Amino acid sequence: MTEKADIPTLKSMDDIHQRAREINSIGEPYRVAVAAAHDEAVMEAVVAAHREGIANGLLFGHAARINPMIEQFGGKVGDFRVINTNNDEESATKVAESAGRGEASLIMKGILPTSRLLKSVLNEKYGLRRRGLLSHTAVLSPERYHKLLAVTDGGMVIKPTFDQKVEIIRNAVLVSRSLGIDVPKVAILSMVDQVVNSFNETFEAAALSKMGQRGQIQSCDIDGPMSFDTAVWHKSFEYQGMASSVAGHADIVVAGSIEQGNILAKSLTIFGGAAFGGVIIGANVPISLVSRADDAINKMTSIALAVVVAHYLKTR
Amino acid sequence: MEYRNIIDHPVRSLDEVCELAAEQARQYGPYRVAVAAGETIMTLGPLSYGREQELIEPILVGNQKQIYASLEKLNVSPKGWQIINEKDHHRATKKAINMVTSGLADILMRGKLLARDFFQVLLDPQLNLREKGDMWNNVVVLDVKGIDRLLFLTDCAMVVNTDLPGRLKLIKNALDFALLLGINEPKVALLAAVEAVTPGMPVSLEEAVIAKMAERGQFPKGVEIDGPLSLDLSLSPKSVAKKKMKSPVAGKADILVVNDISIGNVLFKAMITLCGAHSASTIVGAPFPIILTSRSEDPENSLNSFALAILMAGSKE
Repeated sequence: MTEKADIPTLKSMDDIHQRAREINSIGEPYRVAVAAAHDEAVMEAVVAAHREGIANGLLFGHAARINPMIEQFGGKVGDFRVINTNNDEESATKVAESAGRGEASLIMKGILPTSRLLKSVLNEKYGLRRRGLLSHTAVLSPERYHKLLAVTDGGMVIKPTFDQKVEIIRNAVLVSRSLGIDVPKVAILSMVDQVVNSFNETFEAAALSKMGQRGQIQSCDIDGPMSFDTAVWHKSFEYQGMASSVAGHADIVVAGSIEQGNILAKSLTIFGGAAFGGVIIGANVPISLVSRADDAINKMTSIALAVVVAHYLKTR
Repeated sequence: MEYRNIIDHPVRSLDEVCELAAEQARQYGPYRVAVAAGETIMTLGPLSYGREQELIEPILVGNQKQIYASLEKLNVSPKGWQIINEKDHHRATKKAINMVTSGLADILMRGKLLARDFFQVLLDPQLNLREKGDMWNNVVVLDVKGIDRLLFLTDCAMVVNTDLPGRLKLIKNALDFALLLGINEPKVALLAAVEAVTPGMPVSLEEAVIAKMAERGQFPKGVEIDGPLSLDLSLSPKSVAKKKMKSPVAGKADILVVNDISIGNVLFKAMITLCGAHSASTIVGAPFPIILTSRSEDPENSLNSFALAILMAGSKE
């Protein structure tokens, strides 16, 4: 049922960067197609990713603005392929075409609306669309946690239905497995650890957990309902005397809404000393999505994470 | 409740809350805390500590045998403890409430029972403690490293979700409570996943409406409210600068309002488990102070909640 992926377990953001470098050293380096790349925040990350051996850049957007930015961040224009496009739509379309042809193995959103980019990516004629749902997985490294923690979905699906939660879990499991976690521990978040009849979320969590046990969601160990402290903090479930293989050791926490996932991930980034990488899964190539306010290092980590996932998608 | 003594400067840390409470307890004597189902070590440990510090005088309503056993485990002599033997949690809660309403205790505390069972008794229409149309909500006070002020988060433990009129009442309660701690011009952030008003995200629409009401002066003078705001834009001046965000609240929020309890709950738990924050928790809008401690808090953290309740109880004159 669960084959071993034969990937070393990555435990830190440095490990993810290193893994991306290793992947690039095996064959031709991975290329990231960037839609509307003419943005300083995006270019800083793209140039750094190239310098660090994490990914080469295929940059779509206003070439006259992109080229000086490459130099501004200490790169050489000759190291990047820059394709001039005149508007967001052209940029998004060409990115999807290029990834569809296999010229790039991952996509990064530049300075254009996410919806504009996804419209092109999901257009069937480019061959990037798969049957499943697109969802966002953030990978974080909180200082006080003993491993990486994935939070989903704080960036894409607003209020997932039950069926969408199943897809979201499958997508996040794929990310964790690409990080070398063969059987990721998945906690379905709730206020409480008990099934409580006034909280519908606890019913859904219980059902998802049972689906995991029955092998309907494979390659993971799911438990829920589970409150966040139980999921990540051994002290808490010891008080409760709860028997769970996930409690205290979650690799993935599944939020009930985009607000819950987003605010959780941001609290760990701002106050928990966590570095952060985020990726959208569900198309044939991973899509790296960064926010303007993210630090440059986190933006680069998002690219590295997408490389690691892209490689897993190709080789699994 | 109307808070009787308003502190004349903004309180900036939970340590300061504890100092002010200790001062008050020295002046008026220990505050009497009626504890519903306070039988476990988790509840009795902090109570015993608070009692030693002469902050509080616990009145334990619960299973006497279990209480003795737990005190023994804690190496605490039961001598001098007020214990009312009541094995049934529902009745114990009712008796503890009665002690507070009849003036025999100053503060109510939840012991071993689940929050929802506790509230079920507390909000029983027969007790008539909450008037029709009134809102009670939970506020968690957070003391976070790197932030030079206290943060007030609502709601993490009581109001599952509510409509717009309910949310306005909930905010009003939080504003009154912030005033008790000397925060006269609080900045309120209405939390969301994004700062753009997004039609597909109903949360962002409701928050935009509340923010507009604040702009139109529909909240007390000096109060600033803005939303939707992401967590980083609410609290991180660095993010605000990067995004060139213009808002009277961004980067400086005192009060964080979430749209749904599941968001508040996970944020609160992330802050205390993986972000090293200290906390105190209470109910606002109720006629007397209520202590809710969380199992995720370190026992010494419970003292913060005692101290907060003492400030809420106010002077005994």
